[in-house]
Amino acid sequence: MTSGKNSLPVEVQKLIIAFSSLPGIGPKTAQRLSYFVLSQNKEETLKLAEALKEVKENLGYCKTCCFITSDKDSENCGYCYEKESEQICVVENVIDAITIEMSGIHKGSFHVLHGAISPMNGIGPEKLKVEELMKRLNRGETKEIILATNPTLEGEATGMYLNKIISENYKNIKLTRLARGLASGTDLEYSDFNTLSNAFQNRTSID
Amino acid sequence: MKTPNKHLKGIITRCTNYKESDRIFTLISDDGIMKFIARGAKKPSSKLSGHIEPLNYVALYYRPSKSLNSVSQVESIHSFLEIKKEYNLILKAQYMMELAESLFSENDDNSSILSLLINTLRNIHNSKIPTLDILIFEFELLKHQGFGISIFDCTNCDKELERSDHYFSSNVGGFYCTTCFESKRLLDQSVKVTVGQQLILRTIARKNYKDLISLNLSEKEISNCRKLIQNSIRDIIGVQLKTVKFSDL
Ligand SMILES: [Zn+2]
Ligand SMILES: [Zn+2]
Repeated sequence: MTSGKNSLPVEVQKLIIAFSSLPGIGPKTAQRLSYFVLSQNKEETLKLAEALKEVKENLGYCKTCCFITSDKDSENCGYCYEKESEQICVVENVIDAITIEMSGIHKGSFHVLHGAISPMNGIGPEKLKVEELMKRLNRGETKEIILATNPTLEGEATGMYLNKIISENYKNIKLTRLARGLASGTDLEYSDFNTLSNAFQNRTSID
Repeated sequence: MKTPNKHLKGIITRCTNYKESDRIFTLISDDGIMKFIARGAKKPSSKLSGHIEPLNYVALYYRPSKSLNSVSQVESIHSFLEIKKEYNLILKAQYMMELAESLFSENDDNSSILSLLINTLRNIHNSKIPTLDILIFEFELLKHQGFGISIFDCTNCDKELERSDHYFSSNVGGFYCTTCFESKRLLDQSVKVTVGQQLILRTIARKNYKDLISLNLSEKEISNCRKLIQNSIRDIIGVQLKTVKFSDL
């Protein structure tokens, strides 16, 4: 017996496989999406393809705050250009920065680490955007660092590491971390406004 | 008919987020190394959320499945909070978890691995020299898994080793006496081990842990012993563990 999927043109098979790589998309949904694309008019589909291509080809990371930017060659991105770096909120990833930004709680700028220290996965501090953060602090404008890494083991380890090197090298910078209003084992991205807001208001000094 | 829930205790070694709000985690237990899915565990409202974190000793209920076992209930027995407060201890704990995982064998009795891991994790924050606890852990773990290092006799001729420097071969997991070493000339594969280092290993092998304290060991001496054992571990599992470079070796 031949399977129906294998008799499909290679192009369609490739599309199904590509869709299944997305989070939350199983083989069934990937098939449905592919068939939808087949029925869609060419212009619409090419628009989607172009958008996907542009996001990967044109975007890079800001040299200062490491947020995503389409202005790769400039020193600052739109995200950190207008904000003062007196107060920098350090987060693990871009989505965390967006989540906090959208809440409107934090008026200062961000620094995106692009991950957390994870020895079991071979990720040490050198693989994160820590050096970029130190460069920012060397400018001497920063008065406070808010450590907003996730309250997970890896996030906490990252926070402890940053706390250690910042407090040792920059004695005048106040270090705070988000209050433990956030349930451990969960991600910032999924916390509700109240929890996030409380955590921000009740941030504590690290001693 | 639904399959009944099964009960299990173990230490969570790894966690990853899956889909919108699920977490997949690895558990090291007496029954083996198993993977589970905790549906909805990423949501703050989930009862599972706080418990599913690496370095938690948990009791759980799960429904066995052909693909991924799904947990219905997870409760922490011990969260090792003292370790989680200290960056360096977290790194050491992760190393021990990875080592335990890598030396787990499908067919043998692994029950001692979990208890050895739990005991070391329970005590390491009180230790004056945490690297010594790790050395003991490494030594005992190798022994339990059938890769014990022979300390007292020549690994080639079984003759008791006299008190002097000897050469250690990670290939054979033991020492050569002077005669055997001379005749074998295995210089390339062997490293010289001082009387002092041998004394540390002998004391550990005899389980005279109290005597270790009176030896007034330096970090350097412990580190040298760990390097020997590290060579053996690398020979046994065939790869370098990812956490080794973070464990103060
Ligand atoms: Zn920027
Ligand atoms: Zn011999």
